[in-house]
Amino acid sequence: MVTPAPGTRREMLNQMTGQYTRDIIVDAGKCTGCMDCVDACKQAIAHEHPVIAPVARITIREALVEGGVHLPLLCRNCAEAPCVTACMTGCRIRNGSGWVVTAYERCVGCWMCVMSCPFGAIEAVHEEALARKCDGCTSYEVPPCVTACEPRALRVEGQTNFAQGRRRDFATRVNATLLGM
Amino acid sequence: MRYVIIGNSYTAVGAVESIRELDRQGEIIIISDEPYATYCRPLITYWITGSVDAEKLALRPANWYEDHRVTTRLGQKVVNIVPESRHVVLEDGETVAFDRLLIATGGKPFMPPIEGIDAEGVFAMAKLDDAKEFNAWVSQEHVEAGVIVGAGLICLSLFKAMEGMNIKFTLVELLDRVLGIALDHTASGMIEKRLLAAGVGVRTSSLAEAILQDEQGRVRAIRLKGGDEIPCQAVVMAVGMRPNVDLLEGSGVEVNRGIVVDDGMRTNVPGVYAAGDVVETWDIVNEMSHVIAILPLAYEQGRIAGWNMAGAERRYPGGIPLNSLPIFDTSLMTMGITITDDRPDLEVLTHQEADQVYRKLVFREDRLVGAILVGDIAHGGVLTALIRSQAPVTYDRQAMLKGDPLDIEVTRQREAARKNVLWERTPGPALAVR
Ligand SMILES: Cc1cc2nc3c(=O)[nH]c(=O)nc-3n(C[C@H](O)[C@H](O)[C@H](O)COP(=O)(O)OP(=O)(O)OC[C@H]3O[C@@H](n4cnc5c(N)ncnc54)[C@H](O)[C@@H]3O)c2cc1C
Repeated sequence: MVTPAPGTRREMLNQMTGQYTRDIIVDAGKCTGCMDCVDACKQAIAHEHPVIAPVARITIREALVEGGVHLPLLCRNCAEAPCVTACMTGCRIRNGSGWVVTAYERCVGCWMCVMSCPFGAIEAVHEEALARKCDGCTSYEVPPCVTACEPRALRVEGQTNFAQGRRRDFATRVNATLLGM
Repeated sequence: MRYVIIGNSYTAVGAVESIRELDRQGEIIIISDEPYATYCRPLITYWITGSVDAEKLALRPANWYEDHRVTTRLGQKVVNIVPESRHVVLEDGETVAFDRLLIATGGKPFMPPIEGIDAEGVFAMAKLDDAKEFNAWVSQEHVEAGVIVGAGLICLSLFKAMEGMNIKFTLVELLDRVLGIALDHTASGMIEKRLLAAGVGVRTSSLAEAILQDEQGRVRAIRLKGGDEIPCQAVVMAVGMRPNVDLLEGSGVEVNRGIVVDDGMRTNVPGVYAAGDVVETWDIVNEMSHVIAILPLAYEQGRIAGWNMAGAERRYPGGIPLNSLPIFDTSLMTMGITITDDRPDLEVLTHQEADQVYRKLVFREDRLVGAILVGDIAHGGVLTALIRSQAPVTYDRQAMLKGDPLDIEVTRQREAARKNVLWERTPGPALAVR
C-alpha cells in the first residue's frame, strides 16, 4: 500500500472548507447494502410522519448485475430542481439552508414531483398521500444517514475533495495491482 | 428597470423568482384580474371539499411579495397593450408603463355555445371564484345529481377532490373514452372501471346538446345528442382551456392558437415576453409548437422569461405533455406521446398486471418518446427525464417496462429482513386527502 502523498495546499484548503458544504456525496462503489442509513433515516424522520410508521427518505437499490452493485438513492438537491418546478402546492421549495425541502403539511400527494425527479429519489407514499424525499437534515451537524454509514459510501464533503479522494483510491489500486507496490 | 407582469400564477411566480436572482433593484409590478394573492390553481377543487384550507391554497407564503419587492395590482384587468408607448391599459383607463412586459395570462375555460349554457347552476372550474360559486350553489340548492361535461384532466381532478361529496356525478365525454387525449383504450378502461365502481356515471361518445332549465332558469337536466336526458341540478363545463389573448388585439403581438414566442420566451415585439399556458411551446417529442397547459412548463418558462427580461441569455429547450393524477386508489401518469394508434413509426411495449398495473413505453428508434403508467408510478421521473433529454436508450427495455431499472424487490426483502423494520410496504389504497 502506498501511503498518500502529503497534502497539497489545495487539498488542505478543501479540507478546511469542507465543513461549509452541505452536499451529501454518494460513493456507490463503497456501499455494501447494509441498510444502516435507511434505518437511521427512518428513526430521524419518524416524528414528522404521524399517519404512518416511517418510510425512509433514502433507499438502497441493487442493480441486477453479478455480485450486486448497491446504489444509495437520495435527493441530489438539484440546482434547478424539477420537483420544485412541478410542485403544484408550493410545498417543495429551496429554503435558506440551500436544500430543497418539503413542507409535508401542505403536500397533497399529486405525484407531480415523482413524475419529475430524474433520480427517482422521491417516494410516493400512498397511505399518507405524501411525496417523501430527503430534505438534507440540515438541522443536524452531520445527517444521520451519513453518521450511520460505516463504509463511508455517504459523506458530507465538497465535490473537489470527493473527486480527489476517488483519484487517490484509483491510483492506489493501480499501484497495488499493476506495479505491485 | 420596470418589469410589468400580467397574471399572478405559476408563470408569474417563476418570473419574479428568476428576475430577483439577477436584479435586486428593478421595480416589479404584477397585475391580475383575480383579487387573490397567488394560489394553487389545481387545488381549487380540493378547497371545495375543505381538504385544503385558505392557507394551504396559497402558492407562496404571505410575505413572498414583500420579500421579492413586488407591487401588486390585484383585481385589475389589463384590456390593452400599447408596445409603441410602452404601457398597458387597465379596465378603468389607467395606464401602467413598463420597460419589460411579461404576458402570463394563462388560459380561460372554453364554454361551448350550446343552448342553456347561461342557466343558473352551470359552472366552469378554472379559478377560485368558480369553485366558490360552485360551492355556494351546492350548499344552497338541493343538488343530488351533477353532470361534468368533458372527461379531461380538470374533470378527473374534480373526482379526487370530491370524494365524499354527496352528489351523484355523471361524466359526458365526446370521445369514446375518458381522458382520451392522454390515455389509450387500455389505460382509459382501467380508469373508467374505477369511476364506475365509485358510482360515477360515464357517458362516452356523447355530445351534450342542450342544458335544460326550470321556470326560474335553473339547471334541471342535460340533453345529449340522440335525445337522452340526464336530470341534474349542477353542471360543470370542463371541455378545455383556451389561451387568454383578448388583451393583445391591435398590439401587434403575434398570436397563433397561443402567443408565438422564440426559445427565449420573447414575442415578436421587442421587450414583450410571454410564457405559460398562454403560449405555444416547442414540444420535444411531437416536434411542433402547440399549447401545453401544465404547471411545470408554466413555472419553468416563467423562469426563463424572467432571466431574459433581466438581461440574461437563457434558452428554453421545450417541454412535453405531462399528467399526474391520483384517481381514487389508483395513480396515473402520462408523459409525451401516449396515443399510438396508426403510428407505424413508433415501437410500443406494454406490461399489464390484471386490473392493477399497466405500463406502456413508446419508443421512436432508440429514443423513449412517451409513457403511460397506471398503478405503478415508481420512477416515473426517470422516464420523464429520458423523454425530455431524448438521450438514446441503451438499457434493457423489458426491464424498464417492468418498472424499476434497479431491483426494488431485493431492496424490499433486505429491508424486511432487518429486525427493526418499522413499516412494511404494502400496495394499499391511498388515503383520502387530508
Ligand atoms: C382544476 C384544475 C386542475 C389542474 N390540474 C393540473 C395538474 O394536475 N397538473 C398540471 O400540471 N396542471 C394542472 N392544471 C393547469 C395549471 O393550473 C396551469 O397550467 C397553470 O395554472 C398555468 O399557469 P399560468 O401562470 O400560465 O396561468 P394561469 O394559472 O391561468 O394564470 C393566469 C392569470 O392571469 C390572469 N389574467 C388573465 N387575463 C388577464 C388580464 N387581461 N388582465 C389581468 N389578469 C389577467 C388570470 O385571471 C389568471 O389569474 C390544472 C388547472 C385547473 C383549472
